[in-house]
Amino acid sequence: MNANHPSLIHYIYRGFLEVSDLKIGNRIFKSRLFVGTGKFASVSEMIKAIDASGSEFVTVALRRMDFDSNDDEFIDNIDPERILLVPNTSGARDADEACNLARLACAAGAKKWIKLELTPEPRHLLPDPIETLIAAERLVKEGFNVLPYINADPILAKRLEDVGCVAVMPLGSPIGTNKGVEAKEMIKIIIENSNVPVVVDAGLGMPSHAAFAMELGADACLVNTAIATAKDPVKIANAFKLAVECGRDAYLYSKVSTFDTAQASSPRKGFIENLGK
Amino acid sequence: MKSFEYLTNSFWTRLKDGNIASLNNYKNVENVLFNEEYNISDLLTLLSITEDKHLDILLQKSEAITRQRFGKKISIYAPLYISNYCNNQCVYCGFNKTVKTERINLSIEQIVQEAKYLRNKGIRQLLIVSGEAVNSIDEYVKVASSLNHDFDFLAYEIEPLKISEYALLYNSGLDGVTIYQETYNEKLYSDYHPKGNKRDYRYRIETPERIAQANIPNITIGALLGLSDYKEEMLFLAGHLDYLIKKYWNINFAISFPRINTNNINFSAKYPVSDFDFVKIIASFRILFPDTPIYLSTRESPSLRDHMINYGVTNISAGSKTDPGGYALFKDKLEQFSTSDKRGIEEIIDYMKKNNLRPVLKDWDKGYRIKR
Repeated sequence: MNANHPSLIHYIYRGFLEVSDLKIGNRIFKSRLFVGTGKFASVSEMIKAIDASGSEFVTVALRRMDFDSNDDEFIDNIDPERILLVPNTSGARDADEACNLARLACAAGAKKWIKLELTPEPRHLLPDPIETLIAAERLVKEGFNVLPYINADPILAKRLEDVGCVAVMPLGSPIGTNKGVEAKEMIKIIIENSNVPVVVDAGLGMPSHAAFAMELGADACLVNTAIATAKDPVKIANAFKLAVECGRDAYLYSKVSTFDTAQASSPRKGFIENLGK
Repeated sequence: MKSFEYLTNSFWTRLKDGNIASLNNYKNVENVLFNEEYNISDLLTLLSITEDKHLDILLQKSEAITRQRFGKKISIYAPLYISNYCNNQCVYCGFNKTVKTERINLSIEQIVQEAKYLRNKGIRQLLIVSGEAVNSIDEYVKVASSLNHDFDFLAYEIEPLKISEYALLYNSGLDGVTIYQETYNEKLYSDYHPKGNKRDYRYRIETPERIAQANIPNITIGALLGLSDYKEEMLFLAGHLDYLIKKYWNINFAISFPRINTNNINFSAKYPVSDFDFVKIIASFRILFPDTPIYLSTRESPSLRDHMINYGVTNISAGSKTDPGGYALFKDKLEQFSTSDKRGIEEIIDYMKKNNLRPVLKDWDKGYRIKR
């Protein structure tokens, strides 16, 4: 393994770990596929899809979490040792609302993990960068492990890392659009510069999109709509699982360059072979 | 610029010559139906659909968009009528001041009792409805304060208020307001509202903006189908919604399509809307506004509701009573309108689960309520 191999660089910069494992905060994840729980037809379908995905990181909208109920079919069927259930603040319009939601969730017994989704504009559900940064800083100081959902903005990603976020979650394309990694160039820059895990979130409509994100060097992908609204959510969840694994392997173990023209075997081969050593 | 100027000047000018009839040169329906993207100028073409095969395509598109944006979730709420007194004389309404019948204004204790009944049935999202100009703002504040800890989502459908009054309600735990323009046709509006504060067309049309300026996060608008030509009505409703979404970009706007139901009073709609046209309207709005929740109440039949929750509708009421005290206190008092879908909450939830849909009773959280 040479010193320029990307896996070695990540090994040095992101902690002393097996390159196949993902560490966020102080928790280690074997699976690099994260799953959202919106839009499913039923709780039982959701649970089967999560199982098929192999995911260990599952997000739930706080607006749908029922803290008053002792009987929650979803929570009762999730193994808390294997799966980290992370509330998200979807629908929060500003930092005050997001922080309030996070604190209420914690008071009701949720662990101090929060996916910050500050999406004041309901049409495209794009994240508000300013309020996200404000909320992130507040919640990190209160001891939360904060994962902010953001536009693919490399500067914002660094600012969030600086205030103590345990990961950043740039969107591939807007939520629910299934358009893939349209923000490719910005995500590449984020990945290059980040000292925390980068989870590509939103817009991953096909397993190939997730594989592509992983090939770029993303540490994980989060998928919701594409699984929940599929004809067969269980099969598609499994397909995404395989795609994420393939994309990760491709990133770690394949290093190919692209050319604009066909390449015959090198015209320099004979010359090089005959060089004295 | 406010709604009134926008709709009567800018929007109207954009509709060419200010004459709806001149827009009868509809683009070919099939050309529009197979577009990738839509805008308001396509609405009249979509509303001109008369053939079953075209409606089928429209419904397919509407279903696909609904699934992609909302998944299979259907949000459930219930209305709670607190008063059938009203100072208006809307000619189409059961609460019309001139209708001679027993009137009821529920006390706070009675309201809480009715709310408890609904809460015990599983309802977490409540719409408080009242005849207009009956209760003072203090009373509305008291109602919100009494109910907001038991319900995750609380909305009002009452008379238009001032910004400061909406702000007071927001700080008392109100999450949303529903306000129907009834009709965008100013001349007909005046005919239908002969007396009472509701006569003020402009004040009413600008109400969604006052609600937004008071920072209330959820606003539902609509027009009462049957009061004027539906194509013209829907064109202006679409224009109004588009304007509001763009101007108040951080507010959740939703849309509802109440259809005149006057079984309980002596009024006959001059512009009745058939089921075919009604379905067409809902599907057209879904593809024009893919992210906007669409409400459908129990005015409509079980069969129509069961179909339309697949083709655009995302929020429905269940087990509704439109007479104050009708859930737990009294029987057979004056209703605003008769309901068609008389199924109970459990029956509707059961139907959805059997048909691969996910009924959602909680779709908001008290955590969003921040005093400002």
